[in-house]
Amino acid sequence: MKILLNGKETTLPNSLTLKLLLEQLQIQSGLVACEHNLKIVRRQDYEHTTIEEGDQIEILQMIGGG
Amino acid sequence: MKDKPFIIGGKEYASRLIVGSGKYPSLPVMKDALTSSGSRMVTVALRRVDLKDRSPQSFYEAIPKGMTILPNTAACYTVEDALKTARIAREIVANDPPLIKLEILGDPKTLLPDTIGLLEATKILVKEGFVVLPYTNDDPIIAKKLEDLGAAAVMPLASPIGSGMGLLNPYNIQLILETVTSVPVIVDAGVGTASDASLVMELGADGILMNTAIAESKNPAQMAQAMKLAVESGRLAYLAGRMPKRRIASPSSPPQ
Repeated sequence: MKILLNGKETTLPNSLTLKLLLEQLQIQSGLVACEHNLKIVRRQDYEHTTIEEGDQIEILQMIGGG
Repeated sequence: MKDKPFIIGGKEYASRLIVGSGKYPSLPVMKDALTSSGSRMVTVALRRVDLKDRSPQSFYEAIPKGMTILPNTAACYTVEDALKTARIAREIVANDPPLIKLEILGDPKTLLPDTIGLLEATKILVKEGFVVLPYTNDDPIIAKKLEDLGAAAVMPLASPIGSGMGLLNPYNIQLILETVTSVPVIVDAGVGTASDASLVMELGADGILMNTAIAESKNPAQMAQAMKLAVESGRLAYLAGRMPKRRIASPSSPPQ
């Protein structure tokens, strides 16, 4: 299935939870925030959030800034 | 005069200098500079994770332990974007209560703040329980309104972000210092070198936030130390109280 991941069309083998997606991307969930279809997902809800075909996922982190 | 503590959102900070983490040539250089600055609070920005280049993941590791992380809403030009960024920041940075440096820009050329949007967003975020630190213009009226809306500090600019022009309007900053009395006034942006920082502190500002002056110096760790000393000496001079200015000389040695 295809999703929009950080603005890029990305193909995933099958539907999965946000928690699993982060694990597959090797991203430490403690240092990022995620949006699922433009809504912020609270960290405790990552494992209950299922990503479906056509969904939009944004993964954000802190970087240098003033 | 004895100094009062520097308190933001109920927490006391041992340094009146707040530093940014942008524009450093490398993470080790940043880490050294942040350490030399003696600062206890560092600003960060929020961006998409680059799924191809994962090196920014080590950014967090390069922040000296114990520094409070102050996320910003940099690059936001609308109230809506700034609110969204603040709510995302709350998820990423574990401050309790959540801190946000609120920046709503009005124009990419000057990066001057949209103060109308700033007032609106401050009101909403204060209601949501954020400790709001708004970056604002050197306008005493807006500064007072921000204080009244519940901002945890008011942060007027010395000159535009990244310009290094120093304190362009000491008169307005002085008016803001006389007007805003219940929360710290932190001069944010425009400081170029140590004397600029001292001058700001000599006026009685509670603190200074800077990034480019340190990050773009040839030796950031050394400039960070210079800024630490400048902030401390400017503060001491303010507390001590300067001598009056005279138009004519006054001999230091007694006349014959």
